[in-house]
Amino acid sequence: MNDDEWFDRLRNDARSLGYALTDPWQLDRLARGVLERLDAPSPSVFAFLSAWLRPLGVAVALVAVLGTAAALLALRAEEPVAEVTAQILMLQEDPYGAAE
Amino acid sequence: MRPEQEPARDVGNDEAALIEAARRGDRDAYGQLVRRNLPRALAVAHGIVRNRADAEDLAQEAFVRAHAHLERFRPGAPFAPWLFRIVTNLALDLLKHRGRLREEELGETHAAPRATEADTAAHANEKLRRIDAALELLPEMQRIVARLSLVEELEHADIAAALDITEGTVRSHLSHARAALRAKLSDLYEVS
Repeated sequence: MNDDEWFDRLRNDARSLGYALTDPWQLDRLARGVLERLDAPSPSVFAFLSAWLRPLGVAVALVAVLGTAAALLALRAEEPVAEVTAQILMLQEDPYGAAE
Repeated sequence: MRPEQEPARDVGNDEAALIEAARRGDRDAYGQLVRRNLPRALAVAHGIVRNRADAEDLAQEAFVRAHAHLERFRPGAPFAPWLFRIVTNLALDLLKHRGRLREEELGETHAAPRATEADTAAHANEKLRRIDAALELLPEMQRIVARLSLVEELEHADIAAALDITEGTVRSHLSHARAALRAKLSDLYEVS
């Protein structure tokens, strides 16, 4: 078998590794897909900005909520200490209970 | 069923008119350009990425990008070579990206190479598996040229356009690829 014959046989077999349509309408579907993408409206500036700002807004709101919650917890934790401190101060001012 | 590869070189003025109409926003004109060139765009993409779904995505993406840049297109120039270069660049970018991902995967987990559809099809047939493996062993340009010519059956002019090389260089790569394939697959068609 000469080189060309050998190569023709190789070409015959190799073509089955190539791209093949699964059905006759596939090209139409793919072409339609391209045109649909061209017709799809491009996002407006407002939509573009809102898409970026929305997660940022959510993050800021989350930080604010967490900050408020943390401040409230801190204040609540400080309250008994403040009461005890006030009582001690009152006792120091009147060590014999003369005020009663 | 292989897509019929409509010759684009005999469309001449008709193609120029379609491009001009598409530039003015005529979607039907661009639709005709898409239908004319889609089979070969699919073949170029498939010859490089060897995956059907990727080839379809890449070919569609190339048409979308070509449309977005139609105003840059030189009037009177043939559309197909420009489109094929877009397809090729997208396909090579995808392969590079995949290569990087695979290197990272291998670095982390020593994962097995990703199987392509060609791998799967080839495993069903020992002869095809050997042909596919021999093609994969060729140096990159020889491999791509050989796949586009032997497997996807593109003409030398289309291959040259897609790879931005001369037809002489295509023939040279193909000649080297033939010799290497013959050496690797010498026993494939021997009469027993």
